This record gives sequence, structure tokens and C-alpha cells, in this order.
Amino acid sequence: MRNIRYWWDKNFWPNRYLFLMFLPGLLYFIIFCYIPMGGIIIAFKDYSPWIGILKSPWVGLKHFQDFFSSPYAWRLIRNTLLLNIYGLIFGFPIPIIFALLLNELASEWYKKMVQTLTYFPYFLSMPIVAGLVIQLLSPSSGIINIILVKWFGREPIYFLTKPEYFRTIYISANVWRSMGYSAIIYLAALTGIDPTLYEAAIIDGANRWQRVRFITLPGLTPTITILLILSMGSILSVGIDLILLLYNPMTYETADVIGTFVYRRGIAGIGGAPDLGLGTAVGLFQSVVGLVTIMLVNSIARRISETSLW
Amino acid sequence: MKVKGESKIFDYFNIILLGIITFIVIYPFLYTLSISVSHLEAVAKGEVTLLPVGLNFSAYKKVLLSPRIWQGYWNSTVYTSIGTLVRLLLLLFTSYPLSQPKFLGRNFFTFLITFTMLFSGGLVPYFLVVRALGLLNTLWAMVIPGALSAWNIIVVRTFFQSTIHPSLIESAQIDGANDFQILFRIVFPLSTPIIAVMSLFIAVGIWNDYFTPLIFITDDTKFPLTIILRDIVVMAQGREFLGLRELGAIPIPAQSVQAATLIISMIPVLIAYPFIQKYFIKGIMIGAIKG
Repeated sequence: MRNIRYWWDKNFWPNRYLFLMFLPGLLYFIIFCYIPMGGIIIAFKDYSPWIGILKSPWVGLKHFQDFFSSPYAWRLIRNTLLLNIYGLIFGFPIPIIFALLLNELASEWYKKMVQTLTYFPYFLSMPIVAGLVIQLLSPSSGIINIILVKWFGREPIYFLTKPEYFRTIYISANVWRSMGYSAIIYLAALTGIDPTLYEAAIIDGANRWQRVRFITLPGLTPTITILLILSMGSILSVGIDLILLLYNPMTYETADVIGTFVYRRGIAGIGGAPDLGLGTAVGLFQSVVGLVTIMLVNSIARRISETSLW
Repeated sequence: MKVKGESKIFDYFNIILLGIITFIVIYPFLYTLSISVSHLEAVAKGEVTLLPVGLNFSAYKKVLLSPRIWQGYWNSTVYTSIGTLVRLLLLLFTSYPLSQPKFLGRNFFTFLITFTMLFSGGLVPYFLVVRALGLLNTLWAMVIPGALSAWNIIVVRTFFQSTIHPSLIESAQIDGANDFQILFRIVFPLSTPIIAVMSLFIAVGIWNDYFTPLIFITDDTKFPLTIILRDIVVMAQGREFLGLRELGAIPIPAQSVQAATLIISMIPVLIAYPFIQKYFIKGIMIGAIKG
């Protein structure tokens, strides 16, 4: 009793306004992050909104079995992984190379102009990005098909209905949208490199390539490592906004990913009533894999380099 | 870095290469702009490649006469202005206590918040919570869910810790100011750069948000611009949607209408872009250096 009284007088009451200030934020995280985490039990129940979560009967791992034995489980996992891997292969080095090229420019105004123009797509909403993609790929009057038909004498291709083109379209649109933005993160890191290092290297006779190789790149390594770890944490989740806008049943073969499946079956109820249990189970699988991957990658990073998230 | 006697070939090559890259990035905009103002027959025949062919604003006329576009614009404006205000205050209120050593349990709370970056309950339970709160189809569905991000809280907290000297806060306390007064009169005036950056991050986030209205808003009078855009541009219902079928003699190609819609919806972003660019770069710097 005394301890509580002491804590109240000493710590709580003098800081009551701080606690009051913090309360809405705390409630936010409890309501929108921690209660949904508790909602994970739906994944193990035959949930029916009329009976409520607690009274719905337990079904154990039924939803997981249903998902993993279904024909699309493998397709969804494969598509998600492939979009992520291609996203890493192209989306990761391109902004780095772009930032390095920008950094080598002597003219400040040219550098600024290139940056200003390439940074712009990042601020457009996904429906605009999707709209531009559709404009360029339109079978009757899109520029790509105009080139195919008029220059090469080929038949127009309905790109957005062909599964074999979906990954290329998705990755290109993403690289196009975020290249300028990501480059700025690297350019910010480059300003942190001590200029005397370059001066010393020049005196020692290092050429341009050697300066990039031995000063600039090592200076970027911590940033690259952090961004790489973070992107590994979302290996089973891809940005689904653009996919939802560009895919259709004809391209599900390559375009349907775990996130879009959870949306379609768990919430929108496309192709049957929303299956909340299944949606939760698949979402849980995705979250757990993300958590495990990020911890694994982080511990590897800590062992082989000096940079890690924690 | 200029070094005497070093070959210039790379410099020229670099200038040209970056010029080509920049052209590729802005080409979709030029192309869409040209489509939107070209002669309708030229668009239908696929004659537009880079520059407009002829000049024709009928697609714009049709789009601007559609009430749907204006409603979307209005809804987005309301969501963005109210949402930015609420989210910003919430962010500052949550971050400030975490920056104060006297705030007991701040390490525990910081952990509670950062953990949400690593693990979540998934989309379905989140949706059920929002629905149970009765937020569906209200303005608050666009404001409250997703209002706080752990990343922003950490950036703002770190800014407060590194910029605002504890002695300032102490002396205000001795003068009898409470924490709200300290926050509004001392901390905020010293934090204008981070407040500007965060307001822009938040405003752009709400204006461009597509997924939140997709799952939480089904009433079509409440759709923000992003959803209206999807209906016109992506679902290729352009003409039907805008009621352009009864146009008579010259049918406007769907592509012209879509292009005009895209250009019209980009205008606010274009106007805000100079500010956005200035403060976003600052914001990324703050995040990158201190986060």
C-alpha cells in the first residue's frame, strides 16, 4: 500500500499530464495493434460473428490444413516470393547505381533537375500509377503496342491479360515509382562521408573507380545492410495496392499473392462469402514467417558485419 | 569532385545516361498529357507517341462536367485536412512523453510500439476491430486506423531528444508550467522543421491512400479521389461511368477520357510538389541519420 502511495506521489502525480498526453496513443496501439493480435485465435476457430469469438468452436489447425492442401497455396507462396526476389534483384541495386551516378555529376543544377524529375512519381497514388501503366500498355492506342505494330509489324499484345508479362510490369512500375526516392536515402548517407578521405585518396593517386570502390561503397554499406534487413522482414508480403489494381482472374497464375488472397477471401468475399478463419490463418502464417525471417537475417547481419537493427 | 587530368569521357557518358533515365521516368507523363489533348481520331488510330497531334479539350470538358470527380476531390480534401490535423497532434502527443526521462515506463512503452513494426495480427482481425468500432463508411475510417506509425514516433521522439535541451523544460517547470504548456509554448516552436515534415508525410499518405477506403468505405458518395480514379481509369468504365455514352456523333475514346482524368487528378500533387520535395528530403535525412 505504501509503495503504491509512494509511486503515485513521486512518479505519477507530478507527471500526470504526460500520462494524459500519452493515453490516446497508447489506446491506439492497444486497439489497432494488440487487440488484432489477440484476434489471431480466429485462425484456430470456426468463427461465426453471431456467436462471437469466444463461443465459436475450436477447430485446431483446420484452416491451415485447408490452405496448405489447396491447389493455390503453392501458387500464392511462389508468386509472393518471386515478386519479392525480383523486386530485390532489380529494385535494390538500381537506386544505388542511380545514386552513385548522381553523386559523380559535377554540375549541381543538372543533378538537382534529374533528382526533382525522378523523385516525382513517388508522390502519385497507386491508381494513378496503374492508370499510367494501362495507358502505356493499351492494346489499341498504347505506345508499346504502337511500336510493336507499326515498327515491327507484330500483332498487338493484351499485356494485362497475359500472366507471363505481369511480373515484369509490376517490377518495372515499382522501380519507376521509387527509384528517385530510394536514391535520396543513399545520397543522404553519402553526405555523411568525410570529404578528406577523397582528398587523401586523390593525393595517393586513386582513380575515380577506386574512390567509388574503396570510399563511397564502404560508406554506404551500413545503409544498404539496414535496408536489406528491413526488406527481408517483408519477404512474404508485397505491396498489394498495385496488384489489386492491375490483376484479373486471367493473370492470377502469376499475379495472385498471399496478401491479395487474404483480401479477396477474408474481407471482400470475392468468390464466396468472406472466410474470416481462413483469412486470419493465412495472415498469421505471413506475419510469423516475416518475424522469423527478420530475426534470422538480423542475427546473421550482426555476426558478419557491424550493422544490425538491434 | 574534380581532379585535373582525369578523363572527361565518363562525365559526358554520365550526363547522357542520366538524361536518358530522366526521360524514361517522365515519358509516361508526357505521353498521357499528349493523349489527353490530342485529336480524338488521332488517339483512336494510335498516332500519338510523344507530342500531341492536333489540339482538343473535349475529354477534359467531359471529365470536368462529371460530378463524381468533384465529389471525390471534395471528399479527399476533407479526409486529408481533418486527418492530417488529428494524426499530427496524436503523433506529437505520443512522441513527446517518450522523449522525457521522467516519464516512467517509457522503455516499456517504446518496446510496445516498436514491436508493432515486427509483428501484426493480420488484415482480417484488424478489419473486424474497425468494423466493431462502427467506423465503416465514416470520415473516421480514413483518419483513425493507421493514424500512428511506430517509425514516425521514433523519428519525432529522437528529434525531441536531440534538439530540445532538458534545461529549457526544467526551467519552464520551475516557473510553474505544466507539460501541455511546455509542449505548446516551448517544444512546438522549436520543432517546426519536424512538424512540417511530418504534416507533409501524413497529408500525402492520406491523399494517396487507396487501400483504406477500399476496405472501409463502400458508400459511393464517400469515396475519395483514389477510388473514383480506379473506377474511371482502371476498371475501364470511363465512358459509362461518366455518362458519356449519349454523346452522339463523335465517341470520345476511353483512352482520352482516362488520360484527362489522370492529368486532372495529378494537379494537386504538382502544385504541392515544390513544398513536398523540399521537406521530404529533409525528412528522409532526419530519418536516415537519426533513425
